[in-house]
Amino acid sequence: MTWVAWRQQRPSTVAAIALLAVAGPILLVSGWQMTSFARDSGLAACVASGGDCQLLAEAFGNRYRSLLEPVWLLGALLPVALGLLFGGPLLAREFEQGTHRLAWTQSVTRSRWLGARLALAAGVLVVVSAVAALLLTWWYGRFDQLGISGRAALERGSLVPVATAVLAFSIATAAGALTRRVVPALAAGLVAVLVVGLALNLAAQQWLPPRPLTITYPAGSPSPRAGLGDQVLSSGYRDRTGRDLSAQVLDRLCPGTAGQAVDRCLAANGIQRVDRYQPASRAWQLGLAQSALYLVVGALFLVLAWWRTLRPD
Amino acid sequence: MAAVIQAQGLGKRYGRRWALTDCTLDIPAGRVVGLVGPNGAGKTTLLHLTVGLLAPTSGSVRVLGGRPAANPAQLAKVGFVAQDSPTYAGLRVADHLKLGARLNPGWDAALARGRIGRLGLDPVRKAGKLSGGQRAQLALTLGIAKRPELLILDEPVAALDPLARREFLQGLMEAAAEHELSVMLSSHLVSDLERACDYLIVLVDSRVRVAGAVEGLLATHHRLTGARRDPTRLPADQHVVAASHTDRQTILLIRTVGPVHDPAWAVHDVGLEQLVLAYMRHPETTALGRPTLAAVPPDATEVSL
Repeated sequence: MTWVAWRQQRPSTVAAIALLAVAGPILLVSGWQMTSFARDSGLAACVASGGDCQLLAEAFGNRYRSLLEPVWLLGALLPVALGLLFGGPLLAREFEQGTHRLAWTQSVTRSRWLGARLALAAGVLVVVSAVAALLLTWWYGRFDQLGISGRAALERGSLVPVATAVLAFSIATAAGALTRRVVPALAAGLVAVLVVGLALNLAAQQWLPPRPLTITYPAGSPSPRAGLGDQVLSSGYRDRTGRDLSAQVLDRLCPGTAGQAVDRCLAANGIQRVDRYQPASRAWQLGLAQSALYLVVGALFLVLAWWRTLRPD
Repeated sequence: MAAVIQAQGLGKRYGRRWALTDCTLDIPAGRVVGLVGPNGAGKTTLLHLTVGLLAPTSGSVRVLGGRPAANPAQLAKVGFVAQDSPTYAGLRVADHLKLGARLNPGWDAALARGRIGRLGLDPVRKAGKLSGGQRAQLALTLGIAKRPELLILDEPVAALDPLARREFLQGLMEAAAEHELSVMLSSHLVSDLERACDYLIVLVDSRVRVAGAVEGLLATHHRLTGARRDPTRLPADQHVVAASHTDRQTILLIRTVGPVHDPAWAVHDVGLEQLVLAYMRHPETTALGRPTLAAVPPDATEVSL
C-alpha cells in the first residue's frame, strides 16, 4: 500500500518541489545580498558594536524594505497553498474519477487504504513545508540580526508554517471527502482555511497561554519597551484614578490629532497609556501554543474526513 | 454447489427513494450471471451492495459466505470492475499492474502481463491516453489477475462499439472458463448478455422481476396464441407475464412449470430477449406471485411479444 500511496502522491510532491525551486533561490539570493550589503556598508559591524547605526540602517531599509511585504505574504500563503495542493485532490479526485471504486475493491480494507494515503501525504507535506519554513526563517533572520525588523522574531520559529500547512491539508481533505469534487474542494478548502485560521488566531490571542503582559507608562512619552520587538496587541488610556478612557473622552480632553501639543496635554492631565503585549522573547512559546492549536483542530478535520470516507453510503 | 450470492430482502434507500427493494437471490457458483434491466432500475446499486461499496438499508447479502468487503480475505475473493472502467488517468498501464500486485496477495503477474501483451496495450502508456475499449480491458485485466472467485462487472461493455463488445465478452468468457470464475455482469441490453450468460436476473423499477438459470427460464416460459379470451381464466399454475389482444386474437406470454394442455392455444417457444422484454414492459407482473392484469385492459392495443 505504501508504494501505491507514494505513486499517487508523486505528482503533487513534484509540484510542491517545483514551487520551492522557484521560491527558494529568490529567498536565498536576496538573503545573501542583504548579508553582504550589511557587511560591506559597515552596518553589521555597527550593530555588533552596539553603536548608533540609524543612518546605516536607514540605507539598508530603503534598499530592502520593499522585499518584506512580498516575502511576508509568501510566508503566509505558501503553507496554505501546499496544504491545499496535498489535501484538496486526495479524496476528491478519487471520487470525481470513480477510482475509489477501483481502490476499495482491491484486497485492502478501506481504512488501511485511507490510513496509508493520509499518513504518506501528511508526511511528505511536513517535510516540504518544513523546508519552506526554514528558508523563510533564515531569510527573516537576515533582517532580524540587524535589529531592523521585529517581525522575524515574532514569526515564531519554523513550527507555525508547518502546522499551518497541516491544518490546510486537513481542511482540504475533509472538503474533498464532503464535496467529492476537486475544484469545489479546493475553493471550499481555501475559504475554510482562511476563516478557521482567523478564528483560531483570535482564539489563541484571547485564551491561549502564555497570556499577554501589560505595561503602563505616562501617555505622550515613548514606551519603555520601544525597540524590543514586542508584539503590541492593544493599547488604551487611563486617567489618574485608573479609569479607562474612551477615544471620545480623550478627544474632548486633548483635541487635535497626534503631535507634541497633544502629548503635552496628555502628560499634563496625568493620563497613562496601557499596552497589552507579548515580548519578543516569547516567540517560541507562542509559536508552540499556536501550532498545537492548529494541529488539534486539523486532527478534528481529519476525523471528519475519515468518518465520511469510511462510512459506507 | 454453494451459493456465491445470497440476498435476503435486500434493499437500499437513497433519501426517500428506494433504489432496490426486497431483493432475494440465491445464485449458485460457477455461473455467468447476467443482470439486465433498464437504466436506473437498480443494477448498479445491487452490484455495489454485493462488493461492499454500499451498505444495505434493509435485509442482508452474503457473498461467498461472507459479508461484502468485511476484511482483506473477503475483498480478495471478489473482483470488481465498476461502471465506465475507472482507472488512474495519470498512471501508466504498468503502474496499474504494479498497483494490482501491491494490493492483492493472490495477484497473478504472469497472467496480467500476458493479457496486456496479447491486447497490445503499451505498458508505458498512461491510462488517461487509452481508448474506452483499452481502458475497459485494462480494468478487466486488474479484475481477473487478482484471481478472485467471483468477478463482478458493472456495464462493462456500455462504452464499447459492437465489435469491441463481442471481443470483450469473448475474452471474459474465456477467462471465466479458464480460471473457473463465477461472473456477474450487468447490462441494459439483453443482446449483450444473451451469448455470454447462463443465469439471468431481470431488475425493473428497483425490484427483481425474474431470476434463474437461462435454460430453466426458457423451458418454463411459453407464448400462447389463440382466439380472443380472458387470460384470468387460465389454470392456477400458469402465470401471465404479458398479454395482448387484437379484435379476434389473444397472445399471452406465460410462465408455468407444467405443459400446456388446452388445445385452444397454439404453444410457441420464447427467445431470451422476448422473455426479458416482456418482463421489462410489464413491471407489474413478477415471477413471484399471481400477476395483476389491471393495467392490461381486454382491448389494449397490440403488444408485440
